[in-house]
Amino acid sequence: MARLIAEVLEGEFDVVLVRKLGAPGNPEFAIGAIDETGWATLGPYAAMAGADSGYIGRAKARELETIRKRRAQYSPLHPPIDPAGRIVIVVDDGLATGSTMLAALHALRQRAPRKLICAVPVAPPDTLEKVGQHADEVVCLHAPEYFQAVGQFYADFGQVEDEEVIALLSERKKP
Amino acid sequence: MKLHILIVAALLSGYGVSETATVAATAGAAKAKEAEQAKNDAPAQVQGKLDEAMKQAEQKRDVDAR
Repeated sequence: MARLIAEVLEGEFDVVLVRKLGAPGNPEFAIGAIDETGWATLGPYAAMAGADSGYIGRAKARELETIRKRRAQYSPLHPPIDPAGRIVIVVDDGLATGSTMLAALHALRQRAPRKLICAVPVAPPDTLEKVGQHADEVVCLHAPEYFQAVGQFYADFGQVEDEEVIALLSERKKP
Repeated sequence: MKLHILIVAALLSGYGVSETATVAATAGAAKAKEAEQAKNDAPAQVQGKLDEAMKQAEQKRDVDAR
């Protein structure tokens, strides 16, 4: 999706790496997210899910290590583009809790973009309000009150394979 | 003047270059779980699409697990 937007706007394409922080005993349930700088956002339900400070500290260290390994794998072939002074549009397939988008926005904000825009096709209104506090502008095509999951709004919600990401990054060209 | 725009995809770095089949299968399971959750409450007119999405997620999980 981001690649297509980059093509239409004649911009450059890159990725920002973030990781969900999984709940104790249920790693698929996100209690928050962490960005490449080590900054993490936690949902209000983290404590309810049984995540104490010790657990959160260990989860953050583990996920940050994964991000760093991933970046080390990407960087030799696809060095990250410096967003400083640029208009940056952060794209995702949709928002649910907004944790990963908040982490992505935080990571990019630290690198002083001229303008930081969050662009998603679908998200619940309360999440958009939360994310809006961390972006200069939010673009969302559909914000239904009735929202269960991002996949609810897709006919095909298959994941983007790593090979596809690498291929897209390899194709990127400066405008 | 050409816009100086950088478009960034928010990428959950869970699907790495050397990621194991186990993790890939887990990611597929998460998609299937999300689709299942959505299906429980979705209006009737989108049930067919959700069924198809779930089928795709399950097929993907099976392939990744091999």
